[in-house]
Amino acid sequence: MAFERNIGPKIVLSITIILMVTNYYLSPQLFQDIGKYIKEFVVVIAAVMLGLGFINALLRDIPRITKKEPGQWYFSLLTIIFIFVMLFLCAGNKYMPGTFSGMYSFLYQEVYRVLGNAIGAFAAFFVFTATFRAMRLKTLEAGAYTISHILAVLGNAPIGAVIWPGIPIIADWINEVVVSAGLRGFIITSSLGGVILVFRYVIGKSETVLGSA
Amino acid sequence: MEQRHIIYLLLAIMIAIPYIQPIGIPVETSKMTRDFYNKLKSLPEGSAVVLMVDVGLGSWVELGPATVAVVQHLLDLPIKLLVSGGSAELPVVWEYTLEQGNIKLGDNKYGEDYVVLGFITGGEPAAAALADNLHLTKEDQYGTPLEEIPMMKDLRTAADVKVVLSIMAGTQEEWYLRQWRAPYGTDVGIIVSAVTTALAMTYYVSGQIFGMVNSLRGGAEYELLISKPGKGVVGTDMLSLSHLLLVGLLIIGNIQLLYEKFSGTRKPEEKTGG
Repeated sequence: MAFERNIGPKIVLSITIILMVTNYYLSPQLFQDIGKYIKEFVVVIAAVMLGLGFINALLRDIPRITKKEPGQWYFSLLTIIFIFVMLFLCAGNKYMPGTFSGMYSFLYQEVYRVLGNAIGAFAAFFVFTATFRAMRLKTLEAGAYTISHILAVLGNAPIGAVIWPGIPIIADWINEVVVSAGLRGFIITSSLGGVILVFRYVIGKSETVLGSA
Repeated sequence: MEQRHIIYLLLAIMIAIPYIQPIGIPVETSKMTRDFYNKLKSLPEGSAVVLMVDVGLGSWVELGPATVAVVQHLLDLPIKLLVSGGSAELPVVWEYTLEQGNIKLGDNKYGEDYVVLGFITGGEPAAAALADNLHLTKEDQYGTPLEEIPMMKDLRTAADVKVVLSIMAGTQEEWYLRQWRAPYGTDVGIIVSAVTTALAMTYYVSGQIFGMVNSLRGGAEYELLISKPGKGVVGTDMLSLSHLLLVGLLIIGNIQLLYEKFSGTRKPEEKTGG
């Protein structure tokens, strides 16, 4: 007897969707309990995935080190070293906070935070020059976009109100009326698309989440 | 020196000036920040508020001042505060918030007035699971069983929580609207990065989100509302000067473009990075 490909996962997917939809809309305790257990199960699975990510990083980076992959192996080595350093300090912070919390906090606050902020700052410089090059009055649409951008930027900074008190009012109007109207259309249509997609999953017509096209 | 390098230099100078010598450009409080503040201020005594930390320290420059000001306000109010979130850096963010803000815990006692649950992985399903069961983690961040914590005895589901707040730089507000507000009626407020403010605006305008603290600017506004000016107020000077530079450059660039267009001296498009 020939079974359709992915029939098992498809059935699990359909049942899970039906259970979660009933959990959201129906009040009987049984549906509530089932939904609650499934959601807690997802949290457990997500925690397991963090461990899987750790193993995945080892599987990806250790071969790069052993093969001395040009231009990469030293980054991989640093990655592995810091994974284990943080793992060690994290466990130390949990079980012997008196000894390890200082080093753990130092690495997070004085190394990781600073590097994270630096990456954000690099992006800001890039976006700044990209905006300068992109916002040009080449067409009517580009002109409207550029003028809206200038008003929104000045509206977001206190200097806007100093230049002219009307700027924050116009910026608020752009945000609350123009942006909201456009986004509402987008949110509602994408949500309806989501409902249709879920329906296709339930009846087995779509299986992209199972890794199929 | 290329054009972009000159712009980088100008931007660095504009940011450095107010850092060395604050200018003190007046900050006007926006309606969305005031709504956020008024909602928290009007909470009845003993109300439970959940603060979800959904960002890491990488966003601290933008969201730090607002986080510090809102946490200080929450601890000054006669409410019960539960701290959790989807950021793995939550424990460090919480400690850093208290340390950087030099936040006085005052009469607040751990376990009676505030509890830190810790990080919960899993995105929106985790937010939903927490709404269904506030005892999901079984223990707090420091390993104390939740059943032994006095504050947690009356807190079982999101129905026992008046307000959920998210510190975020993505679209997490939708998680709390779908999983906390819709089924349990918990009010949602957000402390949000500037880019995400535009996305969340539609929910604020419709009244689904009661208030928003918009990035660095919102942080400065909130500092002034609680009468504790700090890094947010200094930061808005940098925001003002850098934004002013951008607008100035846009105007100059477009004047140049229009001049070249009408004088027929425009060169072909250049393709450049960064």
